[in-house]
Amino acid sequence: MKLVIFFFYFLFFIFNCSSQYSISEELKFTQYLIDNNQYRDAIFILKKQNTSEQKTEVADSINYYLGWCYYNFKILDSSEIYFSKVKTEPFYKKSAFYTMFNQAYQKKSVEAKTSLQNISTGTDSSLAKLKNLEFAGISLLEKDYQSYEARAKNFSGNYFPISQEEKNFSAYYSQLKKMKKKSPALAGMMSAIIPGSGKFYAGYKGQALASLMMVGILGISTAESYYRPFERSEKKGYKNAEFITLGSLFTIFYIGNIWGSTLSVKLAREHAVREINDQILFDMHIPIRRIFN
Amino acid sequence: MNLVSKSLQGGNSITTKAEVYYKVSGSVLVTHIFSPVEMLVITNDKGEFKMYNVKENTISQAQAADFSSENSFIHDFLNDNTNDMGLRKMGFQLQNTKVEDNMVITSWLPPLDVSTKMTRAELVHENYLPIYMAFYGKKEKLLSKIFYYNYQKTGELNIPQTITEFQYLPNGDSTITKRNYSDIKINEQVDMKWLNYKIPDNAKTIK
Repeated sequence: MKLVIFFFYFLFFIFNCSSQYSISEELKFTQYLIDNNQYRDAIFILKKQNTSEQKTEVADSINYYLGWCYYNFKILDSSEIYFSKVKTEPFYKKSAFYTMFNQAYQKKSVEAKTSLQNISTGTDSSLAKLKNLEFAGISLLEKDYQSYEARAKNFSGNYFPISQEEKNFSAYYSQLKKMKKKSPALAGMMSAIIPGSGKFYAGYKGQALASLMMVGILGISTAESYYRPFERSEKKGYKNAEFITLGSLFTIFYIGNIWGSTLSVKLAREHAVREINDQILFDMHIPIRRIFN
Repeated sequence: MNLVSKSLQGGNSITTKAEVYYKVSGSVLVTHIFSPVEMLVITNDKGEFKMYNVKENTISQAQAADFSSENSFIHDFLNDNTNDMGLRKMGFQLQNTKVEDNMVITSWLPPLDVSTKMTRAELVHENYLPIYMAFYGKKEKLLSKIFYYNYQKTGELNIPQTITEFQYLPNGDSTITKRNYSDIKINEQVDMKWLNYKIPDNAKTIK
């Protein structure tokens, strides 16, 4: 009986060892593929592994590598899912910060803040500084200036992996605060008086000149056709066919220029904010890469 | 590997002694300069550049594609890019190939963004190994030329132990840099101290 039990234990030991050996080999090979940017092949190998049958640290390694592969493919929703499954070191903190960044990039500010809140930095003051910077970044993305100001008070400026980004955030904050709220109604009125001037006010100087020329030329042509018909036999005034055609065109372009000016104010602001948001996300990303890679 | 680099320009000569380390994961290239001043230069494939002065505890950082470790010759030799020395990746296009005296000479057209300064590149291989590379400007004016020689076989890799580079400046002057590499080690033979070196958190940032 003892022999039978021993035999079964022996078999279990051999099977367990061989499976652990194979998974560690697979992970080594996966690391090699990732080092050589072969993310698709790495995903193929990792997806074959059943994480529920693995030890926690092995399952975490698999999830971390999958998160990393999808991150490099810029499939951020999948990357977020796998990174968020990592619960143990050596990959936990890196995965947690990347989970947060993926969420911030996908405009999931609430989830990003929750993920960031849940990262325990312990006694690591450098990670606490990084966490503070990321919170400040999310506050700027949300345009929650009160929250940003509270975070910016903790900027130390003396931790080199994030010191430049702290300065950059201060600059973005100033830019966003200075951004004037231009009035779409005023832009429309300006273009009604001088075609294109509303677009100039919105910041689109080239478009303003184009609108002025187009509406101006059509206006002059319409007036000319009203007072001086092309053919001598034709009637003067509004019954003239040329006047009707040019007048219709002028009206369409004139109203279009007013409407376009009101829209351009909103578009110009959205464009400027989007540019700053992209810079904020970039500056949230770089320190994470600097510290963990 | 150890590196002794001698640069000569306008009668002035500078000798730099360093150790060069390369980690495949992330293409991390670490150069530990110990003469004339102790410095640590770290670059990676993303073009993140850090220069740390060990004695002064100061660091300067930059990020640009030009700083990428993938532009280094070590990356080309370790990743088997010796057939084009990374020219294709930089946007160069193969123009023609000819064989002369057992040497394969390839001519490359530069990418559009540099075509105003550079008209072509030339790469020469002997026994499948690069031995010469040159860049030409307008009117076939030589901008730079690089010689690779003293090849040493390390494991499966052939790495040149001497690289001599001539840079021709617009004012008619030139810079000659000769780099001698020695004591090339791979895998377990490598001392990981500088590859895993962590720059202190309190390092002062300088411009």
